[in-house]
Amino acid sequence: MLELLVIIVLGTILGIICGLVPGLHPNAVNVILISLSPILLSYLSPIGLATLIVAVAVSNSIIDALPSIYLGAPDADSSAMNVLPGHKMLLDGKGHEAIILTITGSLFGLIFAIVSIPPLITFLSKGYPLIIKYIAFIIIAVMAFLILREKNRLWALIIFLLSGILGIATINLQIKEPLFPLFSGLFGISTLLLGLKNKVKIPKQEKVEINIKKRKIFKSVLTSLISGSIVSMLPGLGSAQGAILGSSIVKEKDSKSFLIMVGGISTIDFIISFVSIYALDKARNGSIVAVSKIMEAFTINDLIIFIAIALVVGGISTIIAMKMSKLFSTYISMINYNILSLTIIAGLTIAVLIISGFIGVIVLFTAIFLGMLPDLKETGKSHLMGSLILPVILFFLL
Amino acid sequence: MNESSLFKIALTVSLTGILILLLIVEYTDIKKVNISDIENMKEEEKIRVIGKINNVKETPGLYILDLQDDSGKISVIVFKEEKLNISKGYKADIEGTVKEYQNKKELIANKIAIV
Repeated sequence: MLELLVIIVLGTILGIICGLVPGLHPNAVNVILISLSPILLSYLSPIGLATLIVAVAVSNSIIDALPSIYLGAPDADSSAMNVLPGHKMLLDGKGHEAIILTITGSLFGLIFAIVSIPPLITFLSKGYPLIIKYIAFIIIAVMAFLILREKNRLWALIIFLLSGILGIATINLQIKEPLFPLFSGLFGISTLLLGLKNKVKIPKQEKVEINIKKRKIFKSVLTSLISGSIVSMLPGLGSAQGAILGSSIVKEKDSKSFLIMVGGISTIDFIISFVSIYALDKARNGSIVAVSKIMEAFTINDLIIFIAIALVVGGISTIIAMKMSKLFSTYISMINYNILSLTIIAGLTIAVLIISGFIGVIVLFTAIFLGMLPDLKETGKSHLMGSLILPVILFFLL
Repeated sequence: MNESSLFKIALTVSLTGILILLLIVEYTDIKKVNISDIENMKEEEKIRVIGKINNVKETPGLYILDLQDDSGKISVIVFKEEKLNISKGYKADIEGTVKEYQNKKELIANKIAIV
């Protein structure tokens, strides 16, 4: 038990560090942990290493709100969604409130998803076999809906297709961890570069006590749970698509509810991934894929242990995020955003060169330019997920 | 809901997780198996076996017990933390982790009780 608690603390710290670094996705940390697993497994049991990965993923998904909102640099698709409303609140001096809304969503998303595990197991195990024949068409319908709701539909479609082509090409390249340069370019470095170009000046932040209506939390998290459960059966679609679908279904335009929803869907997606690997033997999240590689079998006992770990880490990370947000809101105007962004861009490029080689760097640069298109053409960044969704559609169709 | 309520809920969630982990560690039953079943088990599985000790070998760092039941034999490794008061002919109830060494399954003992 003591060993488990020490690993949880280490994983939480590691998750916080990688959550604070803009553009660094937990999957990159998973790649490093998996490649080090022969050494780590001589010190840790498989469940110990899996615990470390889960702790990193959960703390990262909560802490991730800080760089996403304060620096406007999301790590992945889910955070890409809260950049706009969150960053707008930051520019109104309400960065801390945006963080509290997002982490409230994350914490309650975790609680709601855990409480809903028994019906989720039934929903996934009965629902998935029913829709498996039609998955490609359902995903096409969802993507058509997401593209048609854009003002600039043509560019949304072009971005989706180009991302898809880049995704197919990258996955078929003989490079290590092809998704690392792809996502670092599409979602990480592209946003950092645009931040440098826009030369954002962050105002002094308000110091007020935040109060959120319980009804708003309940409604937003419940919407996240429903949309997250539906999206979880559709491979390739992630929390970004879930959040947009959810907000479209309830016709929610309020940015505060949207931030709660985005926070909620990130942790809900994580818990559903556990249920998915238990009920369907399908891992749909990078961290869960890493866990499934280490654990040969995934039993109900393992499910309960990982849920308990998620609760421990989720609670601690929420408290840490609250405290850190106060620090960020005090000192954000003093941080030199340009130097920070350039350091991260250099670090990520070197990491891609080491992990995926020279071809990986070419993928990275291509993905960076593609990743800047949504902002330049004022469409949603989530269409870049075509890089995964188009290969999935073709896999089911061909 | 204000920030101090969020703090309290987060703390309660964390403590609930720790409590669940403690309960799992305390009450998870380790399955009892026959020695012959161990050969088909995966490494790292935690199991319980009951058998007769046929031999006790002491090395500087560990004890190696030859354990036998009606189904077969297995080597049980006991790392030296304290003097092991066990001898040939004793019947033991052993909880341990399955490992593979030189293509043979063995058991790393976590808990030994004489029955």
